[in-house]
This record gives sequence, structure tokens and C-alpha cells, in this order.
Amino acid sequence: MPFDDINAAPTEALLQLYANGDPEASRALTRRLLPRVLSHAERLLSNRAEAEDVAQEAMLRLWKIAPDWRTGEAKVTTWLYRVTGNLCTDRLRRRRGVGLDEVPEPEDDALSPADQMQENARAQALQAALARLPERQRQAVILRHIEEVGNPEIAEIMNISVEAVESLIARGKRALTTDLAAQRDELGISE
Amino acid sequence: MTDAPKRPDPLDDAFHALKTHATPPGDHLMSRVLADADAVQADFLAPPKPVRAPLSTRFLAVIGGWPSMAGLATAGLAGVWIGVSQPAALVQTSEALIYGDVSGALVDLDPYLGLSEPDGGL
Repeated sequence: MPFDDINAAPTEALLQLYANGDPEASRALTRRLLPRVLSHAERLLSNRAEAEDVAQEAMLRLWKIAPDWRTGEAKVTTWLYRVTGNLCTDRLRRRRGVGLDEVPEPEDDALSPADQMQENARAQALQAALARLPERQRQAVILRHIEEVGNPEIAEIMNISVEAVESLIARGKRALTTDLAAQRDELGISE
Repeated sequence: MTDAPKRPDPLDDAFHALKTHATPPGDHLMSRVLADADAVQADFLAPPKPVRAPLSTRFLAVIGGWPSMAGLATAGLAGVWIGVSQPAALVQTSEALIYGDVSGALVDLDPYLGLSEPDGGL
């Protein structure tokens, strides 16, 4: 399949092509899905190295399930977010006992211009506040506000009702607002 | 009457910052993921390995399948039955052969017997 066509193909079709032996399909799927999986894992874990391992494992599971994938039953991205979430939950449980102070802060870019520095500061403050949220609230808030996934799909990913998703997001955002209130002026966050 | 303007979410700026702060996957991770993809794809595209049949199946194939096995079993059972029941005729014959207790008469057969003319000449 030509390069442009393969990049425009739906994700489910690419997975089918991969299962049929098309070597380009895995490249297109990786370019499309890996950044989202990695970003989601990094937001959940607040740790780049662990997020990379989780992203690789989630993609490996996708490759393995490709020949058995039943088109139309679920979206590939929904399935991947669920697998990534479960892998992160496993890691967080293993990490239990590690204090919040030991959770690594996101990397700092000391050479950024002033506006970039404030943007980075906001991102870091929010990432740190997210890390302090209960696990399910964190996952729901990240899926809704960072990955921009709709509530019904989040409900499917987290295997809960839409009402439960709304409740988790509302509680999560209240906690984040309280957490970030002290730094509001410093971070340029509006009232 | 118009709706009141929606209040901006105070966290929107922070969420936006975090979204744009995402670092894309590095080349090393891309290579690892693509290597996994190639390995898994090669695995399920490879022809299935021939499965070596168990010893009993191979033995059956050598002797010609179940019909031959039935013949072999019948012959075996017959051998056991002969050994256990020892038919009388077989016992006598085998004893005679082993102990030499054979009685019989030696008869000289004239090779010309029955060929001679009634008048005594050839």
C-alpha cells in the first residue's frame, strides 16, 4: 500500500493489514499510537523510563492480539488505553510504599524562554498534583482532559458507568484546583 | 434573554500546558516497538512446524494400521492359547520328536513293483 494511503487508513484496517503480513502497517500503527500510549503512561506514572516500558508492553500486546482482532467490537485506542491503564496500575501497586517525595519530578528545561518556562512550570505543577490524586480519579481526569477522550469511551476503558466517570472527574478536578490554589499566581492560573 | 457566559475552567491553562509538554517517543523506543512488531509478525506468518507423532502412532503406521494390529493380536492370543491348552495331538508329536519313541516298520519298496510283465519278462 502507498505511504499516503496507509497513513490515512483507519486504525482497525491497519491492524488487519499487519495481521495479513504487511510490513508497513506496523510502522504506521506505531507512528499513530505509540505517542498516545507513551503520553498516557507518563501522565499516570510520572516516570518516563517506566512509561516507556509500559508503552512497549502495551504495543507488544497489540501485535499479539492482531490476528484475533474482531473488527467492530471495540476501538483499538479504547483497548490500548485500557491495557495501558492496567499496566500502570500494576506498576503503581508494586511501587506502593514509595513516598510521594520519592516520585520523580518531570524534567526541567532550564534554557527555555520566559513564557515557555511558565508553560513548563504549569505542566510540572499539574503533573505533580495529578500524581497526588487517587489512582482512578487521576486516570479519569487524564483521559478526559489530556487525551480528550469522551466520557462514554472512558466508561468503557475503565469498565464503569458514565455517571461514575463524571463523578471521578469532578472529584479529581476539585482536588487539583485545591492542590494548585497555593501556586495560582505563580503559575498564572485564572481564578 | 441570553445565557450567562460560561466560566472558564481554571485548570484549562494547566491542562493545555501539560498536553503541549508531552515528549514524543525517542528513536530507541520506536526501534524496540518495531522490532517487537516484526518478531511477532514473523511468528504468526511462519508455516506451522510439523508435529512429530507419538511412538504408538508411528508403530501403527509401520505395521499397517489398526487392521494389522488386530491380526497381530489374534496371532498372539492364539499362541498363548496353544501354549496353555496343549492339544493332545501336538503333545504326542512333540514327545515323539523329543524322546525318539517312534515305532514303525521299514519296507523295501521294489522300484519295479507293478511294472513287470505278467509273463515275467520286462
